[in-house]
Amino acid sequence: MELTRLPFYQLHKLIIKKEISISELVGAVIKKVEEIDDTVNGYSFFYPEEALEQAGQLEKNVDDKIPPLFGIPIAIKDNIAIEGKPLTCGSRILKNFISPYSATVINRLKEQGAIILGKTNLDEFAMGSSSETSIFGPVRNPFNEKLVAGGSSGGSAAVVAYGGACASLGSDTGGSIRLPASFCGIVGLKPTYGLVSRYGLAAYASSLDTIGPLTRNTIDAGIMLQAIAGFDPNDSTSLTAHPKTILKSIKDCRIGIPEEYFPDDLNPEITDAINNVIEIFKPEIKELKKISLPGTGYALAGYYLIAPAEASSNLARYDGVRYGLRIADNNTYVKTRDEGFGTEVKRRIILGTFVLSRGYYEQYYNVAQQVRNVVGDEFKKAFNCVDVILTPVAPVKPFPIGTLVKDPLMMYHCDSFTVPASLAGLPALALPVKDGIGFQLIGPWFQEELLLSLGRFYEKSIGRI
Amino acid sequence: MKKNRLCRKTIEEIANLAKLKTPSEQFTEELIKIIKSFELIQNLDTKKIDSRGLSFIDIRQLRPDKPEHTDIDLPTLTPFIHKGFIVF
Repeated sequence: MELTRLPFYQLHKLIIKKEISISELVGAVIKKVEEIDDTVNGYSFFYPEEALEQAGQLEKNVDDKIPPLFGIPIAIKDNIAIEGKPLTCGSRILKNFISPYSATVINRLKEQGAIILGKTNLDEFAMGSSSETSIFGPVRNPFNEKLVAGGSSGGSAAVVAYGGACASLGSDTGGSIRLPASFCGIVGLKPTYGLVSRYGLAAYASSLDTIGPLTRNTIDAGIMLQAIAGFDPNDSTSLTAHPKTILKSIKDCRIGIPEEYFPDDLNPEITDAINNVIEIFKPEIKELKKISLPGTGYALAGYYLIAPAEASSNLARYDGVRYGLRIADNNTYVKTRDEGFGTEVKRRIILGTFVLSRGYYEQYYNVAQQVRNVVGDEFKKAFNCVDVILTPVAPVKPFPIGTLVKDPLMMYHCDSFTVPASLAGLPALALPVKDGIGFQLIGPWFQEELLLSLGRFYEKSIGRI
Repeated sequence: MKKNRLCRKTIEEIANLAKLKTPSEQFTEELIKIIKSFELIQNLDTKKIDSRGLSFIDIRQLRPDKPEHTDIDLPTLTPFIHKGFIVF
């Protein structure tokens, strides 16, 4: 039995039965990281000694009432704050910054006894779809080191995929959990906006940012969501709704297939893979229905106007005075930002400043907000006749490292199928099919329960544990 | 709607506003290409659309006046098999 391959809900049972010790589990995961991570580059910071020490402490308190995350080694995306640890966001501008406090999600995981193994690599400030723009270098796909792992939570996805953590946390603004989960063959859940506190998440686009789990299966995703969700007075957009994750029957479920997510030029491998998934669901559900979401065609442009607009405001705080890097000069502010930020971050800051500037605001930003409304209204109408929407996660398969990083427009197109749910604040679950192709289930607000139930049905149907 | 002309000078001014150095010519050309590709959203018929953004979320329904107790009953989360389904 290879411990690093098992979903953690099974490891939890083994720990309770004392068939394995927490130290044994943590040791096995550390060994895996030491074997593989030099190639994959999933971890930016790794804390094996602390993890083993914590494992030894937790060992003494194992009984049959321990929470499901007790003693489970997990990884955290390096844009989520952990007190006393670096918070770099993969950027030179925060290279030496140590966080003075922990994010709410970190406190909640620690309360459950989770062991934090390290912080994972990402696209600089979570702005990217391939995890190639980090100051620590690109994350490589664990199944083929020549390919990207997807982004921006590429490190979080890769380490779970190769067994370097039992689960991880990522952040999803326009697809940053779902895309790397799909590329690395694991499960990624973007929760309903507001369900999980953003307190302690380095802000990129505040009205879109969410924190969510990347796991080996849907049961683990549900357990992680239960642990991190819930109202937080430190986040003004936090909601009081509780996530429901008890799996239920899918017999009454109606699934919608939106035609806009299957354009004529979609890679036939992706079309075939998703059609096979649809065939698995077909006999078990109440109805399969073709639907139309015409606003989808505007969603990508809307997202890439709104998100940079918010980013340009959020990243104004990096001024060479309060955080991280400071280049002393007669123009410290400009010099620090110019040397501290990478090309993609600068591109989005300038793009965001542009769309918010006088004369262009109405022409771009205002219309983008209207696009957001159209997309949200279309989903709302669609959910009157279907319960869940099924789509591919991305219009592309994992691509070779270095091929799209110099073509930003093509890179943005990788997010075409993930940004609509982000704009509407809806929950979306990404599940792997094969060869870096994944499918996405989008549900109404707070319907994580239904998404996980469908996801679990799929996993059982194909024999995945 | 007034259409503003987009040129290198505009991008230089914007970079200055964003407290960044004047970008290279290639960077500017790429950026102009990206912005131009986003002009498609102006084809959207916006006359009848609410411009406030996310107006379809009634936040008041989701937030009470004071926070609720949000502790989770952890022992009930241990997965088990029930009628052929794995639940937790």
